[in-house]
Amino acid sequence: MRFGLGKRRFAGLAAVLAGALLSSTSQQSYAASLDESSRATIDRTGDILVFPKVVYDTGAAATARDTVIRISNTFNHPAELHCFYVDARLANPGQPPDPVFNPRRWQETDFEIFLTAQQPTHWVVSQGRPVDPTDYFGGQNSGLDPGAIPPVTAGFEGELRCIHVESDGSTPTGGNYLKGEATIVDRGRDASDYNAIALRSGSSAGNDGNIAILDEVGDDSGGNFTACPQTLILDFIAFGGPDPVVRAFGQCTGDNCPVETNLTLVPCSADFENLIPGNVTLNVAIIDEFETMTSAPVVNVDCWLDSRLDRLGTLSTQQTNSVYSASVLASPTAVARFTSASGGGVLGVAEETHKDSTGKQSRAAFNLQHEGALPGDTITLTLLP
Amino acid sequence: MSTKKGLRRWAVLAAAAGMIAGAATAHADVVADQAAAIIIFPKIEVDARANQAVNIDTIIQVANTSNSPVRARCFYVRANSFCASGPNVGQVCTIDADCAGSRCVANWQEKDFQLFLTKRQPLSWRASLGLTGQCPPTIADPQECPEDAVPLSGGRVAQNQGGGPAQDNGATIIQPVEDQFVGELKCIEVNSADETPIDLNDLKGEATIVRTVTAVDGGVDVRKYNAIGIQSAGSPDPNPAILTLGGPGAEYNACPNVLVLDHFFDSNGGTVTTHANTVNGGVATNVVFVPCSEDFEHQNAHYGDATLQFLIYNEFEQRFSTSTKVSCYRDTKLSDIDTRQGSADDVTSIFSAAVQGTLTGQTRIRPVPGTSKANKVLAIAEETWEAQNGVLNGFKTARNVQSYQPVNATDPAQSDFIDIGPPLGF
Repeated sequence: MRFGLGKRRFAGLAAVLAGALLSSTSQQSYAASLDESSRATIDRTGDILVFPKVVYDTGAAATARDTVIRISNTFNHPAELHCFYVDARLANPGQPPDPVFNPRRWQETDFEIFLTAQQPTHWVVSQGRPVDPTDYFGGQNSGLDPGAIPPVTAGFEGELRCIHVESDGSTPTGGNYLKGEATIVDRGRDASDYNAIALRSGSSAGNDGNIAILDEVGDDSGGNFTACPQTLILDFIAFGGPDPVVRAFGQCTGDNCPVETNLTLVPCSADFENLIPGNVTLNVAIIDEFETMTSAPVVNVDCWLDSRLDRLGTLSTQQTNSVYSASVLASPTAVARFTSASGGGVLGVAEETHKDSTGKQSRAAFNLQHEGALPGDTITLTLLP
Repeated sequence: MSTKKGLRRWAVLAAAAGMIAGAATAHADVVADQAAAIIIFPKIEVDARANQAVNIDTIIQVANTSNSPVRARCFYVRANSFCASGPNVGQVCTIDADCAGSRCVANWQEKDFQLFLTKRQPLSWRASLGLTGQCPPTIADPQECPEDAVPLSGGRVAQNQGGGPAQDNGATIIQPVEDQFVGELKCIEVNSADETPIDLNDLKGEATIVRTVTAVDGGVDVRKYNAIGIQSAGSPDPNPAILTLGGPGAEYNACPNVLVLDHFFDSNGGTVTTHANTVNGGVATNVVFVPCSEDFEHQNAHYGDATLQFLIYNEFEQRFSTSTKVSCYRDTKLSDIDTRQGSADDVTSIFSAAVQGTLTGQTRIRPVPGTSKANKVLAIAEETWEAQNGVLNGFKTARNVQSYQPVNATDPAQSDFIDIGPPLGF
């Protein structure tokens, strides 16, 4: 039996959702490209690195997490980076998110790092990395310190963006030097990692002062930086369904070994100079293994979104009958397609948590796939005096 | 969306047709975040033997991203090593010490199957179980279908949306792999009518490796990576049995010239400290290499053998180098690349934190090209984080490795080849 759960409620069918949408805001217009995919990449180097999920949990629980950031300069030239932490924790962390009663902060902290040719570097977000010439050989921070990197405070959840800049620290520049990874590790040392999403520079990069315009579609089209994708694709295991491997090996009493997927999304646009976060609305279509297509609630990504799949687009208390859940889906896995309806593009990562019946768990992060390109987003860096 | 996707497909086909008359302009991109014509899962791992303290299985997910049915030819490659003689002859081994005085000999064994996916359809299976059953319409609730059932089978068809013939999963049967299996999976998109390779990029995939421990303090460990995609270059070759990756007449993009791996140096006594300096432990990195060139038709295990040059930079920007060979499949801890297998010599490896003096490094991996083919490789990286408690012997992660390469498309030594043999005639 594929599922040990009861009969699923009938979710109904929905028509195929519209694909590309044209949308305009007061500041930007987005013209989707269907013929070319965004070159936002986890496979190649770039000049803007986006780490959508950075966390440092409070408390002493074994599952409390911290994040290790790794960045490398892959070229034979030095590179200066202007990095931005975005603290997106809730106004009331213990309460469900709500745009009015419990919004997310959008507090940026920025710093600069300098990498020599081919230099890799790393830091742990809870500890930062000071400039300390007395670091001993083999120590945690041994190596050429890239700059003074501040620690984040306990309870931090948000993103990190690092942009390759000119010597003025504010003008994005090109070269496609950078790559990065993030490893999220808990106190029990369960670790999950993902590749930073790299936005590549085009031939016009650096021509717009402190603004990085994400309008390059395909390779070498004369744009500034890679446009964000139009659609993100998430292939997921039905939320709350039993892990088939854990069950098969006898570690799943009463099918109580759920798989739960979290999705983290960040808007591509960000104005760090004027402290204006991005706000994107996504249409969602879900297709299961029987090719049944269902529409899911619209998802709004306001500055940063990190949500269990079964709570996407709904009030947090409405967890039953989610279209992402095993009680509704007919098959053990399905694909969700998140297509921008307004506000620009998004980038993201997902994380699966697998549990056994005793409650022990492990997490695995993975990057999302994407389709199409949506030029028009911008990242505005702070002007340094 | 379906109409516009259909227009996109025509645009892609028109562009592909236009490219046939001209020189191939293959990129050297592999993609793990976009759909592709060939998808590669470098590590599929199973240990489903009964009465074991640790069991492992891999959940494989493949999806068709297009609005048309897709067919694919898939190839499992089993790369377990076996004891050549002695009391453990024929048993799976990893190093010679497992064979009680005998040699642990590498093996390479291929088996293939077909996938038929309807439009936009995802499909998943456990490698140890496969999909061999059916889910007929007599089972009213699809949730009651057997776990090993092909979803649209036994007369069950997809809902028709927008008209068109009913669709099902055709002759899809995925046999389970052996109960001890380490190896790779490759799937190549082919023409639904005649099984010949087709210049469309519709496939994506993920692999989730789940490890369970049955001891009292045991638990579960999971890691996940995206399948590596090689996109079509849009220039079909007259010989459909041999796929050309990169170089002149390329049908597909080339494999990368250089892989760039950011990693922790193997701890060997060093530690990575987190949580405001309150938690520490070691980390080690494994890299799994699979060759880009493979000969499934003639079962030539060594067709894609490669020599890899490594250039390692630590956080002092100091540079070291080493090299190694990849024969059909290689899953190796970094510290075992330049030292003997096993942990005895690891502390002297140039991948050791004790030698490098910094926690992290950047390693550039360059295959040495042959005279007639490129001998390139693809890779994923796995990290093992020393566990604070429990008996899992370290939690593991998996991720894709980035690449960097300018490619001379006219150089024959930039081509890799996959010989998949003639159509099977299903």
